Amino acid sequence: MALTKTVEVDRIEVLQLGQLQVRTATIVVDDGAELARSFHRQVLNPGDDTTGQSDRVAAVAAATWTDAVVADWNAWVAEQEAARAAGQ
Amino acid sequence: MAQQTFSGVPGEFTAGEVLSSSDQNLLRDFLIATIKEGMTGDTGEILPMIMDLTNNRIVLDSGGLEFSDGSTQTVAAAGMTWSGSTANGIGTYGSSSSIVAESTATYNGTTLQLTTSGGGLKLDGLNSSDVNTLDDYEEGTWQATCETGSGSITVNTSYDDGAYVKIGRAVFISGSFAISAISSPSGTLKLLGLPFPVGDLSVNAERSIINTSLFFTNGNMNGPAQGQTAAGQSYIAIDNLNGRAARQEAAAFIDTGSSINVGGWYYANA
Repeated sequence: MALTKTVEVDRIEVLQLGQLQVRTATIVVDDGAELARSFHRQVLNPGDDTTGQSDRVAAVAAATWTDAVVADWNAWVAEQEAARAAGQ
Repeated sequence: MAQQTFSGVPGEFTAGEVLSSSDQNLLRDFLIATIKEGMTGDTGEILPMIMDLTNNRIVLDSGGLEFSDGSTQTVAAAGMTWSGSTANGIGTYGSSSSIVAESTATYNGTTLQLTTSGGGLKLDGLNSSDVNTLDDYEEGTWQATCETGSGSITVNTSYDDGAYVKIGRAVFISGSFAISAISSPSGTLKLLGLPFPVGDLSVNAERSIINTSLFFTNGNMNGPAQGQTAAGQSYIAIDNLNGRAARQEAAAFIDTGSSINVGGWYYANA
C-alpha cells in the first residue's frame, strides 16, 4: 500500500472579462488507484499579482491580461463601485 | 480442426441385412466424423454446419437455424447487432434485434437508479447553453481574505477556508473567518476569494444577499451586518445596517479577534 498525495491545478478557465477561474485538485492515490479528489477554487482578476501561482496559471495570466484587458477591467470595476457607492 | 479419419468404405446394404462388425464400426466412425468435423464432399468443400466439440460450438457458415416439430419449421431469431458508433458507449433499444449507440440517451422508464456505492452522476463543468440542462456539480473550498477602503484586516490563516457546493449556476457558500490582526481599517469591507465570479446580468438581477454576521466587533457597530455580491466580482461587500439610514461600510467595526461568518448562495458566471 503506497499512498501518495498530489496537488495540481487541473483547470484554468478564462472568463469574458478576463478573470481566471482556477481549480486546484488534491488527489490521493493508492498504488495507482485514485482514492479521493478534492477541489479548491480561486478567481484571479485582470492585473492581480500572480506571485505564488503555478507556472501555468502565471503563463495564462500573462497571455490573457493585455494592457487593454486590464484597463477594461479596471474601468468596469470603477463603474461597479460607483454604482454601489450611489446605492444602486 | 483436424479431420477425423476412418478406413474402408462400407459395402452396399440390402434390406434386412445384418451388418458385420467391421461395417458397424466403419459406419460409426463415419457418423462421428461427420458430426465432429462436418461432412466433406468430393471437392473437399466444407458444408455449412460444423459441430465443433473441441470448442463447444456449432458453426454456421451461412443460413440460419430452423426448428421443426415434424410439421412446422420455425426460423430462430437472428443474434443482436450493435448499430451506430461504439465511441459513445451508451446502448439503447433499437429494435428486437438491435442495440443502438447514442450520444444523447433517453430513458423512458420511471426510475433510473445507480446502486454502486462510490458512484453517482458526474457533471463537471459541461458548459451547456440549454437552460433546462444541469451541467455542473462541484464541491470544494475557497480561501477568504479581507479588503478595506483603507488600513487592513488580516484573516487568520488557520481559519480562512470556506466551503462551497456548485449546482448549475447556483453556488452555495459557507465559512467562518477569524481576524488575527488589524491596522486602522475603515471604509468598505470586502470578503474576497469567492470560488466563482458572480454572474453579470442586466438590472442587477444577479445580486444576492449573503447571510453575514460579525462577532466580537468593536463597540461602534450599531446594527446587523449584511453581505451582498456584485456583478462579475468575486467578493462579498459587507455593510452595517442601521435602521432606515444608509448602510454603513463596516471595515471600521472589525477588531482583532473578530470573526466574519457567511452563508448563502449566489448566481455564478456560468
